[in-house]
Amino acid sequence: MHLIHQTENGQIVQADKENCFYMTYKGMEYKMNVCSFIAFKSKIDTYNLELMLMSDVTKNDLEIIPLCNKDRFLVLTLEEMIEVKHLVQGALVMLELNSIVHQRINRANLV
Amino acid sequence: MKDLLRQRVAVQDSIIKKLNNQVKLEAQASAAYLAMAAWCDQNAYDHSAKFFYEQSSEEREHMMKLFHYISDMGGIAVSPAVAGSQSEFSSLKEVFETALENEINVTESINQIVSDCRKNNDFATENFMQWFVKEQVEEEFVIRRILDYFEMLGEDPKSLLMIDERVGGVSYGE
Ligand SMILES: [Fe+2]
Ligand SMILES: [Fe+2]
Repeated sequence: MHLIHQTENGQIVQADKENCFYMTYKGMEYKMNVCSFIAFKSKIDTYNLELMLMSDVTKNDLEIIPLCNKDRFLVLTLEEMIEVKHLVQGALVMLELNSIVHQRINRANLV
Repeated sequence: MKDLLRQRVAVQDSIIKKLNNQVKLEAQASAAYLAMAAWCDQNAYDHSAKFFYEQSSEEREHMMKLFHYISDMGGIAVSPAVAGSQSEFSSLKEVFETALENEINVTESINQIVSDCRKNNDFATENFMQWFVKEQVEEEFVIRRILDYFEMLGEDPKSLLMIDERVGGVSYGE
């Protein structure tokens, strides 16, 4: 298990043996393979938090985000959305960094 | 720590995002050309109408090409929401001028993606995008040439008819 990224209430770890990620947020655990993680991040990216903050419409105070082909759902307040967004985006940056490290250290020796 | 990301996804997230944006641009272009075709039909510019119908389906093909590439590379291709297109024009010339403007915007966007690919050492996507670079040269050329006819022949009814008849015959030969 490798810790990828964490915020105050959440963390994302990578499980090398299972080829997947575990996201924990406020005590709940969500298992995601790489595809569902990428899908989840794309989903999160589409929410315009600024717009939600500025909006007077009360329905925007809670967001329901489907996970892993709607097997599970995350119900988040705006505040939680901001945190989860940071968590997921930060995790992807770290994963991309890991790819760069792999490329520079391991694959560079191939040439 | 394994490189799980690279095992599943061949193209970086930031590039995928730009490709999805290009999908949207192509979809918008397809819709815009359809509106232009309708206008030409209404005004009895039959050849121009045919030209724009064909352009419209070409743009959709461009969109699908990008769409499949994103999916094939392990990215998430997003079916685009297309905003309404301009459907009122004051003249045939304005239609072609608007078309050229759109094509120029598309070219700029494609160039930007190529430039980003270079910065990120994404040679596969750069290579994939080269097809679009070439396509844009052709498309801009054809519309520019048609606009030349307006300069040469003027816009009286007889000239417009003549221009319309020539629209289908313009092609880009290297
Ligand atoms: Fe196109
Ligand atoms: Fe085009």
